[in-house]
Amino acid sequence: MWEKLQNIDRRWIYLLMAIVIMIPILKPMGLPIKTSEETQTVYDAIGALKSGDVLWIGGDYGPSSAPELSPMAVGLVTQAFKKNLKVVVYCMWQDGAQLMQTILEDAGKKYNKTEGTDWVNLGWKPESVIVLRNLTDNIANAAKTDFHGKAIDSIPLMQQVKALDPKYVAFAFDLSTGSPGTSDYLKYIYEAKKIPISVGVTAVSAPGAMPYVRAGQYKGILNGMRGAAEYELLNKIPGPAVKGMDAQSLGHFMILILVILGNIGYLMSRKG
Amino acid sequence: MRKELPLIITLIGGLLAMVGKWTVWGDHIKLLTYTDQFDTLVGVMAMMVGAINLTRIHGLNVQRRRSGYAFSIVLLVAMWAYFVLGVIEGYQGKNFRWIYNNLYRNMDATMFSMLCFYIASAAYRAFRIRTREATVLLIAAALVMLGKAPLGETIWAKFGDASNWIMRIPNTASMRGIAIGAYLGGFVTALRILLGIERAHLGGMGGSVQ
Amino acid sequence: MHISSDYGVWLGAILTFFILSYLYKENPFFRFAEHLFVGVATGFGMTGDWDQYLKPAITKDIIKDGKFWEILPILFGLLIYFQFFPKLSWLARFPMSWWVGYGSGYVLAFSPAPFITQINNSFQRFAVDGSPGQTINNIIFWVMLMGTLCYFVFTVNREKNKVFGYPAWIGRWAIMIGLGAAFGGTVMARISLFIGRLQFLLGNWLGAVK
Repeated sequence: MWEKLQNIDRRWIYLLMAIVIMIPILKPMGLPIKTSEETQTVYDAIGALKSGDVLWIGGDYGPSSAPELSPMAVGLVTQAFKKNLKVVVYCMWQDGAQLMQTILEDAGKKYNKTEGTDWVNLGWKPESVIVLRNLTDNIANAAKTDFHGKAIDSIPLMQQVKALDPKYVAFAFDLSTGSPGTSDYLKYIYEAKKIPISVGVTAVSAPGAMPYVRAGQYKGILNGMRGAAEYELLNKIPGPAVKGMDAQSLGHFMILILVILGNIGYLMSRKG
Repeated sequence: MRKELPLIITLIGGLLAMVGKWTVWGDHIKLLTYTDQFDTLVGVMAMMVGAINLTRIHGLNVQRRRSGYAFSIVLLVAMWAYFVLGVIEGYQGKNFRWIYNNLYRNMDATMFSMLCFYIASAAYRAFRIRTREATVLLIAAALVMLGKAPLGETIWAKFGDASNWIMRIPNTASMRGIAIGAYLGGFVTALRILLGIERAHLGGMGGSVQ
Repeated sequence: MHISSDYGVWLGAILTFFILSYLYKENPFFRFAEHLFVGVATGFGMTGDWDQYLKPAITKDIIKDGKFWEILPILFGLLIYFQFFPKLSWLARFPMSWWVGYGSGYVLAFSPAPFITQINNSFQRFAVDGSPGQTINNIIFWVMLMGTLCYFVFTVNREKNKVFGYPAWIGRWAIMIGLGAAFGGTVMARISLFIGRLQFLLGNWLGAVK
C-alpha cells in the first residue's frame, strides 16, 4: 500500500493540480495581501520622482513569465502616467518589445498619454546588452529607431532624452526574467552611471537578487506574482496578479501536501 | 594564421573594451561607442544562422520523406512566411503583431506553463527527507511558500515574517557567498580566454590549454 | 459567460490545448504546435534583427548619413556563414573570436564594480542603534556569509583544518536554507505560469471570469 502511495500516476497529479488551481480562479476567496517592505520601497522610490522626470523601464521578459511581470509593468506605467512622468522603454528580450508596446498603448489610451511625447518604446536590439551600455553614451546612435522603425532624433521626447544618463533619466526599473536583465542594469546603469535602479523579477530569480537589495544597489524589489499583486494594490488597480494570488495559495498547499504524501509513502515503506 | 589570428582578434576585442572603460583616452574619444556599434553590427549578421540550420535539417527530413516530415513542412513554412511578413510589414505591422499576440504568445506561455505540473510531480517523487540537510531545505521551502501565499498568512500571520526573514538573512548570506564565487570564476574565465588559455569557443582547436 | 467571438483568441485557445495535451502523452497535435512554435519563434527572431537594427543601419546610417565604416563590421559578421562550407569554416572563427573577446573584455571592465559593492556591504558595522533585533540579524548574516565562503574553499582539508571546517559546516546549512528559499520561489513562479494560462482560457476565451 505504501509503495502505491509513492507511485501514483503522474497524470493524476497533473489533473489534481489543474483542478486545485482552477477553483479559486472561478471562485476567488479574496484573501488579504500584506505589502512587503521591498514592494513599498519600490512604490515610494517612484512616487518620489517629480512630474516630467524620465522613468526608464527595461522590458526584459517574454510570454513565459508574463503572468508575473506584465502586471508589474502595468503597475509601473500606471504609477508613472498618474504622476506625469515620461516613460522610455528598452527591451533586451525580443518579446518584451511586443509585450511592452501593448501595455503602453493600453495605458496611454486610459491616461491620455501620447506616444512620442509622453512615452517611447525603443524596441529590442540585437546584442542587446552591448546596446544597453551604448545607450548611456547616445541613444540615437545606439538604438537607431524606436519600435515602429522611426528615427530616434525625429521623436519629440527623445530630443530631450539624449542618453541613458543621470542628466536625462531620473530612475530606471528593470523587469527581468533572467539574463540579459537585472545584472546588466546593475553594471552599466547603476554602477557605471549612478542612476538609481530597482527591479521586478520572477519568483525564481528573487532569492539570487536579494544580496543586491541588501547592499542598496536595488531600491527595493518586486518579487514574482506576490510582488506584482502588492504593487497592483498600492496603485489601486487590482488586476490579474491579485486575482491569481488565491490560486497561488492553493497551489502552494497542494505542492506541500504532495511532498508530505510522497514522504509518508517513503518512510512507511522503509519501515515495512 | 588560421590558429593565431582568432586568438589575436580575441585579445584585441578584450583590450578595446578595457581601454574604452578604464583609460582617460578611451573615455575622451568615446571608444566604446564605436566598438559597441561594431560589435552589434557583427552580431546582427548572425541573424540567419539558426534559420539556415533548421532549414538544412528539416529540408532533409522533407526531401527524404522521413517519419513526421509533414511537421517539418509546418516549421519551414511558418518560419519563412513569418519572416517574409515581418520584412514586408515591419515589426509593428498589424498582421505581424496579430500572429505574435494570438499564436506565438499563447504557444510560448503554454510551453512554459507545463513546468507547473512537472514541479508538482517532481516535488511528490523526488523531495524525500533522506538527510538532515534535505529536512532543513524542505522546512525553508515550506516556510517561504506558506509566507508568500496569502492563505498561509491567514492561517498564521507569522508565516509572512518567517518567510521574509529567510529571504533577507540566510538566503541573502548564502546567495551572496555563491555570487562572490561566481564573480571570481567569471573573472578568471574571462582572463583565460583573453590570454588564449581557454579556446573552446574556437571549436576544434583543442579546447582548453592547461 | 461570454465566449469570445475573436477568432484570434480561439486560435490561441486551440493551440494552448494542443500543447497541454502533451501532459497526457506525446501526440500529433502537440507535435504540430511544437513545430509551428519553433518556426514562428525563429521567424520572429530574424524579423527583429532585420527590422530593429540592420535595416536602419543600411538605409539610414550607410546610405543616408554616409557612415561607410559600418560596412566593415557587416562584412566581418558575414564570415560566420562560412561555417556552412567545410573547407572555409575556419573563417567563421573570426567573428566568433571577436564576440568572445569583446564579451570577456566587458566582464573584466564592468563586473568589478558591483562585486566590490557587495564586498563592502558585507563588512558593515553590526550594531544598529535602538534595534537589537537588527543587530542580531546582522551578526547571523555575517556568520552565514563567511560560512558559505569557507564552504567553497576546496584547497583546504576541512576535516583537519577546523578553522575552515566549522564555518564551512555553518555555511552548508546556510546554503541549504538558501536553496530551500529558491525552491519555494520556483514553485511560486511555475504556478504563476499556469495561472496565466487559466486566466486566458477562463477569462479571454470563455469569459467565465473577469
